[in-house]
Amino acid sequence: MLSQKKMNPEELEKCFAEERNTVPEFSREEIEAAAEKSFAFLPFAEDTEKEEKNKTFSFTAFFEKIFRPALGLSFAAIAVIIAVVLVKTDDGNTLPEETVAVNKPMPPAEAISDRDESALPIAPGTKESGTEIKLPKAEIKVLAKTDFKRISDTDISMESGKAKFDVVTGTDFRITVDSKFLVRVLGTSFTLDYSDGKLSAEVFSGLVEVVELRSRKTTSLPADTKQLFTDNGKNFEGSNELRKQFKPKKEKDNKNSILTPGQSFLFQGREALKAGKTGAAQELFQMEIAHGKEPDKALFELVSIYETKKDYAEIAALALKHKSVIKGSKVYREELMVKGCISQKKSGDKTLSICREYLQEFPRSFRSKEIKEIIDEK
Amino acid sequence: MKNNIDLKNLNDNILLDLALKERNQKAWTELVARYYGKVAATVYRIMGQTPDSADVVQEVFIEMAKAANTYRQDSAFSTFLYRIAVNTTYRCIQRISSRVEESSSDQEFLMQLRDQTPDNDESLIKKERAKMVNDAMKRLSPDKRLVLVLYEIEGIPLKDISAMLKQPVQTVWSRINQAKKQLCGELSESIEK
Repeated sequence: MLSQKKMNPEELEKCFAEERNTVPEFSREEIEAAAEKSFAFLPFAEDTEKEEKNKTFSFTAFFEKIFRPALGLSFAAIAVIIAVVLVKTDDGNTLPEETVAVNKPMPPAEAISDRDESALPIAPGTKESGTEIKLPKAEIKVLAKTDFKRISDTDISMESGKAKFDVVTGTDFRITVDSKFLVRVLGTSFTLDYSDGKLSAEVFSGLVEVVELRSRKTTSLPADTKQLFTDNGKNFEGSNELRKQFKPKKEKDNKNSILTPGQSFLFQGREALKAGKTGAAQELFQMEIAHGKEPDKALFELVSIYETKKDYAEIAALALKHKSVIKGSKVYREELMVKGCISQKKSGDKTLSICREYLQEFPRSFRSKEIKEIIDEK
Repeated sequence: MKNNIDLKNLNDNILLDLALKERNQKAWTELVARYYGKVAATVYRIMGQTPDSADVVQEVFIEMAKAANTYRQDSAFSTFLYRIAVNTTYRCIQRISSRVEESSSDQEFLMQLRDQTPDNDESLIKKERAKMVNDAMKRLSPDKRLVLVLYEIEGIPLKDISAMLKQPVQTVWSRINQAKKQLCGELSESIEK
């Protein structure tokens, strides 16, 4: 049949195009077999942490490696050397991991941060009130007995308790709470208090995003807000009683903040904001967007100001005007697009162009369902 | 609680987090299932239906597992996986290039990838045309087939292919053109026959 037609480059292109859209189907068994085999190779977070811990003892292996070929020692002799080395580790020169161990009450003076633990990962477990944990890009202060299941540089898992987190701006930091909530942090200071399935998050600065894992509902908490979450998908923002209870935190110690001209516009803008000079802060954030190195952060701050003013038309306009800034941001891109989209809806912009762009860019995100609903409502 | 989460609705990053941090095998299986078809199609397109192809698909997912904690979430997970798939396949091609001899019937695989709509004249033409193209592609050298598949079928930009294969853009481009030229020649011969 085909031999009656001449195969030309256009038809070749057509063939390629057809091929592009072809995805074969495989049996579930075949896929599960591949998944099972590869699962064994995953570098699980706990194992990686253990490997890191083992590095503290690696000099035994180093001795073994160096001396065995050089001296031609027998296995028995190596064992003696290793034994000697291990005895040395017990004399306090090297900290065994149990020093910061699970369920061992910690004397107040023994704050983890007081030790030089650059090579020693922090063991999870129950931490008493007053314990301070210093991570490369975050500091955690335990405010009430807290049970940590996992502590790594940018990832925490807690089962219960209350702790204050200070995270360096721009760090992608995550906290899983009892496998029920995921708290995503975009550089900020906040406390988490979790007990009886209820999570209270209070944000002092920056932005925290709380994801209820069962319902996949995401709530963004800007600075000076406090909210209670339950794992049944309800939060109590609207409750009068709780609104009273979780009254936004008042500014304190900020009135005397001094502007520091040597710093970036972003820094100065934040200082101005702390000092209550919103107008100046807006100008400074605009300057950072136009000339600074961190335009995305400045845009985020600016959008937050307009959010408090409920000026949604301005937020939508900012999001449209600074599309390139949003696209260039790793940390704030998704959040700014969501804010732009919601603001378009609230300000009556029926094009909902930002919402559509968001769906194209993040089709499977937690917020995609919510954004689809916004578009469908139209 | 964890079992109540519908994994199908979670995004790739969360699934990977669950697998790495909670040792959740179901999350990992869901992630593998999402991409198995695409990865397998790419591997088979590049390698042909050789006895090694199924192993390479498996190897891709093992490599993906090994490298999982290096994924920094600054690009889509599919891009990260795609890179692994192409690099793994390329390595395998280099390893076995001396013995890449496919049986002629094996290339039927790509035909089977197509939907099973009832045959009419148009679909028969499409199938016959696809078979001819696939047969001709099979006769290309592995290097040429690789760049042609990546560029024309997978739609990867030239500079990305160049980065993946660690070869200059010009070399990749000229190899694509050579492959196309050879393919057109092969197809013209087939048509004449």
